[in-house]
Amino acid sequence: MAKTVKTSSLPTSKAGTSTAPMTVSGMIPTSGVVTDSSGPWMIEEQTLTIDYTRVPHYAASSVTHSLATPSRGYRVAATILNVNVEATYSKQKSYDQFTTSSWTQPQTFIYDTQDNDNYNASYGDTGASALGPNGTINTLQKWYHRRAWVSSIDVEETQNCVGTRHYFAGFSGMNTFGGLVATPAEDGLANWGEFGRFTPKRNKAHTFMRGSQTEQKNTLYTLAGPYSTSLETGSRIQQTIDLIGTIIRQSSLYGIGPALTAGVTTSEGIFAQADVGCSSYSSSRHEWN
Amino acid sequence: MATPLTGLNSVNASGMIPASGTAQVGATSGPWMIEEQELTIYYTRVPSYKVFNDVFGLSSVSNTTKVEWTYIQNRVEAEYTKSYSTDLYSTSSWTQPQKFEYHPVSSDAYGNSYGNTGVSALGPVGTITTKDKWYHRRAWDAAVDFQVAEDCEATTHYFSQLPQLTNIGGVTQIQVNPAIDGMSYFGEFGRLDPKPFANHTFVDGDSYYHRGDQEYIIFGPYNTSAETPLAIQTYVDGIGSKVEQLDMFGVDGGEGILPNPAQPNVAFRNTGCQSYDNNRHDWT
Repeated sequence: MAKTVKTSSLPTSKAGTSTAPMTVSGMIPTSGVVTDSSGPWMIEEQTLTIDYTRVPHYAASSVTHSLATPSRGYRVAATILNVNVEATYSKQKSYDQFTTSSWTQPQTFIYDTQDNDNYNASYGDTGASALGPNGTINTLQKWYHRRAWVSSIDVEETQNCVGTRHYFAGFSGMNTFGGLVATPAEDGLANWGEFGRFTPKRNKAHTFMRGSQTEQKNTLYTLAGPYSTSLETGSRIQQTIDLIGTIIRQSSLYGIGPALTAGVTTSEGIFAQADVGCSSYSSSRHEWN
Repeated sequence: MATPLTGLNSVNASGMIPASGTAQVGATSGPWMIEEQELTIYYTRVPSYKVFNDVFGLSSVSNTTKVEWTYIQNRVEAEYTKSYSTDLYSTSSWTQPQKFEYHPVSSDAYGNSYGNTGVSALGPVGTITTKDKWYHRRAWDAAVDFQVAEDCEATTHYFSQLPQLTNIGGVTQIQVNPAIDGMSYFGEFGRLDPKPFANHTFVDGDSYYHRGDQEYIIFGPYNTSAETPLAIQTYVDGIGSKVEQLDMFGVDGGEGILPNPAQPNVAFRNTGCQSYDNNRHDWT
């Protein structure tokens, strides 16, 4: 069952909208009526949407060899978040009229959580303190900042980026008949949410994989051990979203489709390179009241 | 065996009509052609697993491992000789067929046992030895006879590694390591099926795994009751044929394994004793 959770409830204050008095931490908005505050204005906006799915990191815990009754046990060593991120940032010059000489609205988020994973299992209650196994983090209020245009420093720009923090590494090797087998790396959406593609890795004992395996730069929102929503906290979620904002700024996402940049090929696989982001995005504009 | 035989009156193998007698001074003189052969098999039964029914979750995961069939890995030692003798014997010829005895061990290397062993069940581990070696003596025929001494030590499997990718100085290369002999990982259950490159494997992808023959296959989970004397005899006769046809892989300490130069992780079958003949086995 999908659930929607707002993380805060700040009023919007875009041009032409009501600008009821409000206080945002670190900001002192100026209220007023339409006067001669005609600009030109520098208007900055940013948004972020994160589709996520939690995936497991398995390890074999026991092996009993036998000619009649073999068995093997596994444990969930940890779970991590795979994310598909879409971010936008724009800085525009405007000659619209506004009632105030400047305006800042921080960015807030809303969580659309799902109780079930792709295999139909649930792990407890979801909400503001637990993202659950699947869902989407949406921007409830975009970041909005308006001030007077400064010709010496301001340049119009528009950035948007789509990427993941993971992808699926290809592999190269020879089959038993001596033929070369090579598969390229696949983007992070290719095997979205398939639990067998993380660890044990493809070329290791006890692996569940024959195909491509998940590669992830810095495992996001890692929770040790078997997953339950009770392991999550509101602050961990906020830290994760802020971290994703930093990753976006640092252009450390992997591209989707043709935008996935090839990386090195080693004995361990065919890898990709993280080079996607929006350099003007900033998680300091996130608001967690 | 070059020494004269004694006490063979009780030997009565199928298809043979032994002539009794012992070596005696003044008895029938040679020269003699004396032919002998013997066979020893060290065996261990190993499983071919199938793993299925992955049940994935974020809090637990499981699957099922089933024994699809089991088979024997073995090390074979065989010997054949044809000698020239001028000893004296009481008979003009002698034939003694080859007989075997089993020395089964009831537990495998992992401490499991699977029922009673004996003449009807080799069990998971053991040795088959020649109780009575083949012995055949007749007059030396200079037109056709020449002395022969053949011995071999071999397996009917070996261990292979998939070609590996290596990265040296930023350059990725394919490295094909040569096959290694069948004693290297003898009886290790994880090196069979699933293979190292497959999902659900029990070993890393660069591990050596069983290639070659699977002897004395029994389908399903193993129990000694699944064995029969006839199946055992068929197995031993089959090994005898492979000995004769040089259809085995050498082992370290013997002739050694012979990798295929064109594909070094594959081995050639080049070992055996071509004069060995399992028609000399006797199962009565």
